[in-house]
Amino acid sequence: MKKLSFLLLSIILTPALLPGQNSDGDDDPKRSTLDFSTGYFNYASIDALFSGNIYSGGAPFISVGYQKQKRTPTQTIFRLAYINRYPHSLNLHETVVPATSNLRLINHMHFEVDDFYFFPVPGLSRNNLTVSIMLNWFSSIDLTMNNRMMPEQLLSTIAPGFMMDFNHSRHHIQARVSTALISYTCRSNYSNTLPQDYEKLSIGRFIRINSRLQLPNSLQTIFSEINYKYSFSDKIGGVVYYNFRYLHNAKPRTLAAVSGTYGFGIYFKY
Amino acid sequence: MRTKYYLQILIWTTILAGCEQILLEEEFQNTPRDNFNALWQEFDHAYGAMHAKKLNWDSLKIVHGNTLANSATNKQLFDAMSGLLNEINDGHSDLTAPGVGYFRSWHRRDKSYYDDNYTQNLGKVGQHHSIIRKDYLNQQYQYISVDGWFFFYGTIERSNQKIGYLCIPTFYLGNFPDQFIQEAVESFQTMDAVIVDLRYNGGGTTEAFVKTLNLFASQPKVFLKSKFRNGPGHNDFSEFFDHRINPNPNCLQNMPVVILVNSFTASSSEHFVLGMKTQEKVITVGDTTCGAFSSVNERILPNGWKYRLGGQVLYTPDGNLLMDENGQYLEGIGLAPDYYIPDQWSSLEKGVDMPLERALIVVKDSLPF
Repeated sequence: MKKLSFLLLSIILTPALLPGQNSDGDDDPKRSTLDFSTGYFNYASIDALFSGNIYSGGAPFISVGYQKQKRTPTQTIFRLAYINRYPHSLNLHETVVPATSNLRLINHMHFEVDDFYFFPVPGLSRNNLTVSIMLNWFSSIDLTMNNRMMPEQLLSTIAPGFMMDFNHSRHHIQARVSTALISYTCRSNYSNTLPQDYEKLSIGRFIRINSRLQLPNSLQTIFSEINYKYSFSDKIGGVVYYNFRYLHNAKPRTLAAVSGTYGFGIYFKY
Repeated sequence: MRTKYYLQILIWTTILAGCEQILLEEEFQNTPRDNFNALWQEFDHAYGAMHAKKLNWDSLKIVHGNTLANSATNKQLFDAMSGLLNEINDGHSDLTAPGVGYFRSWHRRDKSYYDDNYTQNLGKVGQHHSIIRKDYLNQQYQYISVDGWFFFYGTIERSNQKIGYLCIPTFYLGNFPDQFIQEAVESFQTMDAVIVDLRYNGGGTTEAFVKTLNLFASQPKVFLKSKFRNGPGHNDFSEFFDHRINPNPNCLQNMPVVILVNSFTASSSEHFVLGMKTQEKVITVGDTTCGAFSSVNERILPNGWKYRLGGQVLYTPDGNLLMDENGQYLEGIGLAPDYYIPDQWSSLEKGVDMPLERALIVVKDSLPF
């Protein structure tokens, strides 16, 4: 069990630990950026394993990011939110679905690690505009806390894409988009039954029997973000951003999920 | 000009904020036909026993749904859905429609708790248990009450024999009193036999019944196999999953056990019976059990009605479908007891519990097994 938990954490956290920030011997003292942000995270999904209905909700989130400017710029973002999600269109009767039922309310914990590697394309870059090919390693844990903490989905995906970066004076605008190429996922089985090792539920067994690798024929995503930064000085600045994601996973039954993240924060260069 | 441009961006951002979910679309809307189709389709895609029960699901959709119009009343929709579910005869398939009705697919749904006195009043069961405590345990018993469920055990003395008696009214508790059950088992270790009363025990969680089973069974065995639906085709199933007994180190050792059952002994209780029947010296007395074996999922229709279905199909340890001697899959049919003695209210009123009396005779006549 501990080994499996360690394996899971490794899968999720490895992208964050792999940037290799020191590999090019960069010694510029102000080429690293640390940012803290918060805002509002909206999430909605239809998970056919659980229901044919949309369950949606929103909640504040917290986020920490680290960025390194070097020959291959990298960025890592951690984001956490607890969301109460409610059925979008259902009129549920108290005597049929009690207040504590996850058919009425999903206590959803979302944690993600978003890791980026940028490869600038010199031919497409002009003056203040930089265009980069981007490799996005995105990992997320979505747990239903009031269903024995079972995952709606564990996801770790490699998503290539593009990034455009525009700088003018104190203004900095970045837009990026990527789509999943190869993904590790773990969701409940087709019959949505919890594996039980006799006396107790087994999260380790859940992961062991429900993990799979997926390609775009069964899992499609759009990950996108636009952000605006304003430098107050050469060390500190503010940031606002909107992040949009869409996911469609056909295995074992259809999960369609969409999220919108509205964030603002502060960054420090050092 | 630039201010106007920024203002437009701000307005559109505000309008679109939080509207991401408009990109999602529910397959079924809240119309009578869509509700019926949603129910039919979920069973088509996920119900485990389609083939085991030889159901022609496509035809049944036509039979029960074809005349349903979008102008249908809730009552008409409920009747159409009930008709469809009635074809299944499964103790775990049901439909709850607030303000309209409740329908259980189980064909014995109107069966009385007592053979000679029609009732489905749980209060009578409470009186029944009081009679056992008074007339068989002589008010000498240990008990624990959990969320309104009354568990109790004691000793019945007959013909110089000491027989342990334990009433387990449910396995449906997150805080199941397994410590109390273990204390009962410890107290039974020196007795001549044990009676486990599972009448009216409608089941509950796997964790609860497995812990109990592992306290009463001393031989490690596979007592059941099952498969789960893993695709929309009626023959799409997972590999076999083995249901095992792993005896607790403090389990009851090689003791004759009689299990009291009736038509309301369901689900996890029936799994307990199946597990115990792989052991030596185990007899069942009472009425045929409910026949609700599959693990069950709850789902909601677009109109807010709730239904349940099971995606599991059950097999014997040697890999054959769980069937009776007539070749009928046991979901909805139940497990026949070794001794058929239905509960009689008129006898209980005289202080005589007929199945329990037969259990005591079985124990007396059969010792040692």
